[in-house]
Amino acid sequence: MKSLQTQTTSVTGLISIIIIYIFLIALILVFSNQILQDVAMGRPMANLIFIPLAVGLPVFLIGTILFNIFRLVRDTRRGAPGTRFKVRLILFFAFIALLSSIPQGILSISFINTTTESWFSPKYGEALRGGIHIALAYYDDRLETLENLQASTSLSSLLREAEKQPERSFQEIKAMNSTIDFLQIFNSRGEELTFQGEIDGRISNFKDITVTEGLLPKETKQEKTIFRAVSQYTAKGETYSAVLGTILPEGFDKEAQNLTNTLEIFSQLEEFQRVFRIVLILFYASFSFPILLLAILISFMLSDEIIRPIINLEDATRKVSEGDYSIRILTRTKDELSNLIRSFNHMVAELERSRRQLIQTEKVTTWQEIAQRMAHEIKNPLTPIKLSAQRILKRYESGKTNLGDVLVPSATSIIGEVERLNNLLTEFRDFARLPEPKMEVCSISELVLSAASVFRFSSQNVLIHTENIDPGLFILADSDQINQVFTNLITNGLEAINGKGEISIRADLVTKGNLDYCRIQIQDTGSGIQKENSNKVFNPYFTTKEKGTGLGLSIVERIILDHNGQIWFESQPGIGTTFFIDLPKADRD
Amino acid sequence: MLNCLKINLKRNKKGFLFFFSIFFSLSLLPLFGQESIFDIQTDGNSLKFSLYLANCSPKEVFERLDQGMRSEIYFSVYLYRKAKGLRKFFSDKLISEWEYSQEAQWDIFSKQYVITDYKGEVKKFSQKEEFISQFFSIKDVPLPLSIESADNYYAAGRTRLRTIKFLPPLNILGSFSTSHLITTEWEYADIPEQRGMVRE
Repeated sequence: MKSLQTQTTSVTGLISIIIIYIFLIALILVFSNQILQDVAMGRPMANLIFIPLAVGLPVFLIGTILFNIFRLVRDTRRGAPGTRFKVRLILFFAFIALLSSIPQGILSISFINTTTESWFSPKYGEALRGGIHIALAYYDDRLETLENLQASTSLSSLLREAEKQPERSFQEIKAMNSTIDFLQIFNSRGEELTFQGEIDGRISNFKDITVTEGLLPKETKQEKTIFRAVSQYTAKGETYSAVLGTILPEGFDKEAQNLTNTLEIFSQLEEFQRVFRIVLILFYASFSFPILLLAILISFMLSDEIIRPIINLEDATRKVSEGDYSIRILTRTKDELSNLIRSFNHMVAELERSRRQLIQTEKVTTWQEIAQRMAHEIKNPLTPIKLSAQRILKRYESGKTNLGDVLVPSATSIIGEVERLNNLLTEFRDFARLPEPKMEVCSISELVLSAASVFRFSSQNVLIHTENIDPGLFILADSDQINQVFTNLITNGLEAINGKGEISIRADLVTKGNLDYCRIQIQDTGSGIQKENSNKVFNPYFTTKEKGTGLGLSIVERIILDHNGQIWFESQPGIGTTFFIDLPKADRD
Repeated sequence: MLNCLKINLKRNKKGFLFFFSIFFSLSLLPLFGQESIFDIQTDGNSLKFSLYLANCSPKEVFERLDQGMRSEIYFSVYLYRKAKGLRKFFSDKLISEWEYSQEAQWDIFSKQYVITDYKGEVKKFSQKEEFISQFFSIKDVPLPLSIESADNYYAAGRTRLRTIKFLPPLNILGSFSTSHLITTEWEYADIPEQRGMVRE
């Protein structure tokens, strides 16, 4: 029994598709995530591998899709089974992929547009610029106030009192300008005389300060920005330095920096909004396009998986229509297609059973025909025998002396006819009572060579090719019977060739379902078999030859069937005939 | 046929002149455009390089800084080993490469130009000329080299000025946009001999 391995969607195929899909999606997600992180962290595009991958992956996918399209076109042109259905399936899948990805793409692009537009709203720009303006005004105001106070003429008189009543002087200065947060006075040797106010503004070493009058460089201490101004004054003949200062609120510098940075980003976004949007869309496309291509590629693979059982079903149906009822389709799944396949197998089994019954009926009919033909064949010589015997008897009864004139030809005729009858009966006995085959492991090569060697010398104008026989092929067979098969088929071939031509014998290993077979082909370049006779070739007593008994091929078929094999032929009148024999392969040991 | 040939020749001549003038102008561009001045010096024990961006108008840099954006400049130095023998047919081998960058911005509070150099040090400038001179150059940067022979090597340097330093998430534009990028040609310099090196 032949079998076609068919699964509606093979598990391995499906798993491979899922693995490829997951791998590629993971790859895309990892890279997109990496790039987004790079962008968010402000790193330059460190992962340069992205560029060849972003180009290479779509190119690879497009290449694979084009290759599949090429294969599909080639199969369609060849008229390979199932291609039209496959094309429709692929178009259907691709359409579904597009149907889901196009709205998704439109939505994503619309989302990008809406989001960027809302991010870059002019209101935010105005707010940021306003914030910077306020911060700057505040900053300048504090600095300017300090500068003005330092330059004020009334400050000196207040400072002169500071040695006696430092707290009171500081309060009076603060009353003049509330933004002053501390006061520190040093003598000419740089020694601190007094410190009033916020401790953060205190200078530990005045000697390092080179500025005698005016603003000191800004200092940032524990997130506090400190402005200082030095003012000199003279009291009792000694010169003093007073450091007045103001401290900006904690975190002012940091917040101002954040504000300027945000405004910088905003200005960039504002200026490059269009380009940024295009880049975002391209970025989105660079990841979504391969996914779409992947979906199309998977549609090819899935359609292959879906179409395979249908192709097998079509193939099996064709074989059944050609008369091969031994075909069965294997299926493991339990879907509708499997039900169809099971129904098909059941139908073929039923057909085979009916065919066997028909064959049985045909055999009965054939045997009846054989009996009739046998009767006819036996009856045919009986008439000349009877006539010859009557003739002898008549001559003998007439008393004529020349009995020998009649006796010799009549006896010769009787003997000839009896001989013919004997041959007929011997062959019939051989056909009807073929002995049980004595099975042993035989080399096909040896059997064929042994059978062919007999004819090599007797038929000098006929070339018998036996080169294409695998010496490693063995079968379990009755060597004598198989030898008879080869002898009969080679004899038939030689008779068909009629003197000059070629006979090629080859043997190959073929696998049908889970079984290995040795396929032997005997091909001749003879006259071929007429189409109208092709159904009767294996029928007993069917012959197209003058002296044929019509039992040779019947015996061959019988032997092959006894060996659990199969025999069939292909023939073209005027070109030649090839007989195919499939016999189960055996191991050498 | 002859007329056709003449017309073709005339056309070809015009075409040739057109393309020639374009190529000529393009070939002259580096002469008048920005360029890098690259120099390697030794103080006996070590090598130092200096790289300047010359002939480059700072106008766009100042414009961008005034708009509150940053500019960035990259100084690249490549060290090559000269190909010898049959390898001369191929290019020289790149041994090492270094890239240093510094960033400039305008501090609206202190009203100063601020440069953050490749070491992360912050320098402030009130004068435009002084600022641009510092920003466009990198001086006496040690080259961490360990080569045995000066003759076998040479170095190439170039400068890339990005008049806008894109901040996240716009830094993605940096990989696509070259409109705010000024790149000079490579300038080559021999490696001077230093102690321990062999002059072949």
